[in-house]
Amino acid sequence: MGTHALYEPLAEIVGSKRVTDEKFALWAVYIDSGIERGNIADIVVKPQTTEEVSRILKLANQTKTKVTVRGGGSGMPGGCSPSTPGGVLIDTTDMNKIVEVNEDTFAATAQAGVTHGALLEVIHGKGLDCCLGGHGIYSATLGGSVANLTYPIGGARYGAFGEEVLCLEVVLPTGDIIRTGSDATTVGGRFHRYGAGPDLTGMFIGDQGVLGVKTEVTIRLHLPPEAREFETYCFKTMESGTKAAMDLQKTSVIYDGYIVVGRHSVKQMAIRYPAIPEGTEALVMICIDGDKETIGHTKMKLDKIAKREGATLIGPEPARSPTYDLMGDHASKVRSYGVSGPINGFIPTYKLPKVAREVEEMISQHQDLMLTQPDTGMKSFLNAALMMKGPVVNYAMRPSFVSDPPEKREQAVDFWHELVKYIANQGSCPYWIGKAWTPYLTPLYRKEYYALFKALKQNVDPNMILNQGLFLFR
Amino acid sequence: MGLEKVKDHIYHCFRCGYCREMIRPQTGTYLVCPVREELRFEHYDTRGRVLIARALLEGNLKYSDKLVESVYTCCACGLCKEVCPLFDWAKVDMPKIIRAWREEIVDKGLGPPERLKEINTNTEKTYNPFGTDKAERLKWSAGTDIPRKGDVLYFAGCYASYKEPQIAKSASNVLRRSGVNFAVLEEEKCCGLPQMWNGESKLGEKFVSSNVAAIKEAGAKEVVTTCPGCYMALKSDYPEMTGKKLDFEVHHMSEFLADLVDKGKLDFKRLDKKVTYHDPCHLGRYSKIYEQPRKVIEAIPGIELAEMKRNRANAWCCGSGIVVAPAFPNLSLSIAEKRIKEAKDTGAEILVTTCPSCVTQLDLAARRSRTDIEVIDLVDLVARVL
Repeated sequence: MGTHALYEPLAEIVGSKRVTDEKFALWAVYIDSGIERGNIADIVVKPQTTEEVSRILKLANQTKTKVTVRGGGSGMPGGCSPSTPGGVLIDTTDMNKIVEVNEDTFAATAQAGVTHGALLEVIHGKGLDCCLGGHGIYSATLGGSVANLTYPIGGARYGAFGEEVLCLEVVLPTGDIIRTGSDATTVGGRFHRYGAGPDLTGMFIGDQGVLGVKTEVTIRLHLPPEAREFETYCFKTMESGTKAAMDLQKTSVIYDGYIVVGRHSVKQMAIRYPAIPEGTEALVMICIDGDKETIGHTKMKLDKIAKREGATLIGPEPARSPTYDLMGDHASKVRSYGVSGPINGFIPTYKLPKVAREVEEMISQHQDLMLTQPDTGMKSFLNAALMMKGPVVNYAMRPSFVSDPPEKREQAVDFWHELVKYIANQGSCPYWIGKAWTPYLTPLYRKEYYALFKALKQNVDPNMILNQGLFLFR
Repeated sequence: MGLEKVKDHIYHCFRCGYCREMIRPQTGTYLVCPVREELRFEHYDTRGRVLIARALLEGNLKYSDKLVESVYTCCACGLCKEVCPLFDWAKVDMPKIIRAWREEIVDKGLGPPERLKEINTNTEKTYNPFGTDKAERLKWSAGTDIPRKGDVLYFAGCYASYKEPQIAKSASNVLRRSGVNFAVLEEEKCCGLPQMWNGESKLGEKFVSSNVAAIKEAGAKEVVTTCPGCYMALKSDYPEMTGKKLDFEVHHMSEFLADLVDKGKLDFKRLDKKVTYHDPCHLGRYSKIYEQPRKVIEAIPGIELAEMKRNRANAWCCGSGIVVAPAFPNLSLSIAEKRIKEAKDTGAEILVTTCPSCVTQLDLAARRSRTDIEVIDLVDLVARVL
């Protein structure tokens, strides 16, 4: 039995086993996977159904209580932690039912708390495939991936995870339940994103949860490829690597691509992959897929493009590791003491050398804050980018900072904010926005865009209760 | 001491959430934390526990009775450590954290929970956690003339001595029929593992030194156990706690049997049964002994070994968790029932394991869930076909 004023009404909605206001339980969910400072809520509630979410939000409106929504909690920008202490935290991870895998429409629908891993197991079991996204990857939830937009494995093929989303079921902050895409009509069903009106599915993708709680997500299915090929191209300069990457991206045949830039970052890779030639400043790793008959020919064409920019080919390793695993490997090197703060955002590929060099320069001026890897003696940061559709990358910079003494840790967090601000000002489009990017991104919005966005927010959330503080909405 | 001692493990966590919930068919991982799967809240999984530990270390949180209780719900099965994506040196070692955490709780006089205090008083009085008369420890060997000194020593442990005596009897029979001259201790005491995991490591240390002295006195060069807990305690904890290399080798019975199979010293009768094998956490993930038990099972003619969906490093815990079963029996049995269902799904008639505690736990769960599957220890299976 809890002591918070909303404990009993919430327990009445979800059952007493799915609500807690124990202080220590609140600390277990006070932060996500990022560097951003977290806050604890007053009470955590774990609904299982859309109707329960709706009732919780209606209760929150009646009592003017702020609500923060949390999925798998593996994102980076602090969006699933309250902007200021207190309020209700809706933990969606018990909304974990797979509703339908429809082999006729090639669409799968699942509750928002279903993890990518759980969905993939069912889909693979049927001999099918789908886009796999989210920083927690197998443990990231679909709802979190929608709210955060999210970079998926296979980003060069799929684009952002949101591009694979067809329909959504969303509980608006008022408690009203809506369905989007082809499911917007009473007769449509869940099979297509566009038509039947404006793309309201898109409106909720990347909204960081401020416009509504995602409760069911429908995504597109694919047939698995017959074959995959991998290659790692090494370049002497960032500029030649970037030029090659752009040309490769323009072919539209790449499934997944990962670019590592800068001598420091390449050197970290070279420790694990000694085939990388001395003096390499950029690595471009690609994965292509397709049918057995043509994939070899396609790869030859790509090799030719890379060689045009002076690439040395070293074979499938390290490109064979799924992009995320590669990043995970690095993460384990560069992350330590819980003060690692990846910074991600979409930029045109051509901007990569400029941004990467300037970030390296900023880091070189803060060496005292950077963690030294115990096994390599190197400072912990990685300058990398993940290929998106077209000549666009998800710039993914992974720094790790010292944690002791605590004053240094605080300085490190402040420096991290400087980096975020710099990258925001380079025209980066972040998908993880949360609390971290809000103060830097929001002032950069065109005023008409922000006015429309705010009007939308006020319309669906008149009491401004949901995910307060994000985009400076209060 | 306490959490301070394991600060590195706590602060290495970057909260990716793999330990919260992960299904990754490529690696055979189908969920990670058995306790979180039952109780659902994040303070029961490693990521949540780490954040709570941090809040305690940083002075943002104070202990409460419920917090203490939650620390004792962890089965310390180690699957979270297995899936942690960090490199080995940085992996978040929740079993290690939990052990240190419980020590801190005991040091502060905040625990263990009432239901576990009995284990300590029992063990102090009777040298076993169940409180059974110490004179009954060797009851399983009644009618035999097993010597008290010898090169090879069978360390039966408390579970096989008191709860599952057929395992000790089978071990004795198998060793004899394989031509191994072995001894048992005149006064074997609890290996100390329950106390170590209870937060009472000082009490555990008493048994460590007493058992080490007794094993030395018996002149043993090799100690064989049927209990993976005793195996781990003798092999890893004792040298660490005493700070010196022990004068004897330690083997689990499954290693010993696999060696006998390799040497062709075991002549098995045919047994036409479909069996499945449960990897005990302390033998599998903790000690990396996965293949030896399987080798023994597969050496029996007629047996078909069907693997459970989650096996080896991904095996689901039986829920016993050393101290979780006595402290939280319902939680513990719910976890065990999931494992029993998984075993039954293979179509096996027999569930074989290599841990007397897992046998007790899984057998209870099979009966509670009215599942028709026999649960036996590997050594019982071997005794049956010799």
